[in-house]
Amino acid sequence: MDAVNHNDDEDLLSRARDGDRRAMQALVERHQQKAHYLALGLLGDRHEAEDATQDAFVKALNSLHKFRGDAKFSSWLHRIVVNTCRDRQRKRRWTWLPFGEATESHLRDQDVAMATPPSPISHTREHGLKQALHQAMQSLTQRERQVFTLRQFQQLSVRETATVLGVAEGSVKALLHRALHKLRADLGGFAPQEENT
Amino acid sequence: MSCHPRWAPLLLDAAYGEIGSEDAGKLEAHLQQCEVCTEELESLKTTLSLANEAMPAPLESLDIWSKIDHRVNTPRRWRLQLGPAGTAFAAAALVVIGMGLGRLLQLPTEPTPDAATPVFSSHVAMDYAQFLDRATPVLLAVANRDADLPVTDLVGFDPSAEQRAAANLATSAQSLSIQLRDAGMQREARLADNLALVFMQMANLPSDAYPASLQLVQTTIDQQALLFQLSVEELRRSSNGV
Repeated sequence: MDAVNHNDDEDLLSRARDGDRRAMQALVERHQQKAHYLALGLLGDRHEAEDATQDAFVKALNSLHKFRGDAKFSSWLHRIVVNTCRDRQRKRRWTWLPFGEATESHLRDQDVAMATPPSPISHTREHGLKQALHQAMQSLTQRERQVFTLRQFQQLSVRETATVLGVAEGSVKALLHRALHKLRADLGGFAPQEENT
Repeated sequence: MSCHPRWAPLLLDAAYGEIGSEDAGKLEAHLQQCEVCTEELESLKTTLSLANEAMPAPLESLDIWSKIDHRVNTPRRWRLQLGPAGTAFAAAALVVIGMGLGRLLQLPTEPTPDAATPVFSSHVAMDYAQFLDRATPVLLAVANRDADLPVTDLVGFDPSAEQRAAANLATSAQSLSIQLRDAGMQREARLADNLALVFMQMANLPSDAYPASLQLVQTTIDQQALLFQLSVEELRRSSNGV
């Protein structure tokens, strides 16, 4: 995922506000991967994440006149993605599979195709680790999941995460700390042996 | 857990590798004498590393735009400012104010035969009303159509039939305009002229670029505020019982 040039965004935004559909398309293409990855982290399902990403872009593009430019466009868009995912979760409840019921096919949907076939041993470990993360995400509260996803999946700084969620930086750190402690319980078993002792 | 809550944020920053040099020095000094925090930092780093390893990779091939293109509105300034409800409200307000002013300025004199005759009772006025009934749905359809939407996505849409209808409406509008002027209905004649212009534009668009080139027509509709004028006309007609 390439870094997005803020100045280019401003030019595209200006043209998109005037109804230039090519500029709208360019904005979508520029930000779609990050937006989708954020939705994937929040929802845990590729198809659901794609639907949420589409909804978020429609909301954003149809409300461009409301974007004042106080923050970066990407931060504004991330907030819309977070809210869209939250609304979808409210409607459908949490979409991660119930504890212990993650199936092979479901995990295959979640995972990315690897460039080279893994060895059976590494595949088993990777499969288990992904399943463990999948399950661990269930134990997080919605806010913890949002903070963890923005920091981990989007690699946003604490300040950027706080901007997107509209909370204080201290709250972001506290939520992240709690989230990592919960995740540690489920992922700890996959740590290399020497680090486990 | 850290030995004291005040170290927790620094341990987190250190685990992410985002700690400032001054804080790093303080933390380093503390870690040399605190086994609890040293273990906590290692544990956080391990958890982050495992989470990174377990995260799904982002999709490389995404095409969101093609799936949302038809759901994204093209902003049109005056319609955005008013909106359909706003337009109707503005039209209604204008008519009410106009009627109020008309009554206020009306002199208590005997009505002349012409003035006593309702405008829409004349033959020309009836033709005008019928023309507006035919023109309004076509104009609304064009004004609200997404010009970028492929023709194949428009259910039951026949561009050539729409262009033929536009040509007929343009001819009707031109002849009606002459009759309206002869009847002294200048305002109505001007609206007929504007509608004739729009329908001629529609009829003369290259058929292979239809409806993508409709934006030209939509611009004319916006500039002339034709939908607004038609709303006012409709309100006038309903208040006159036509």
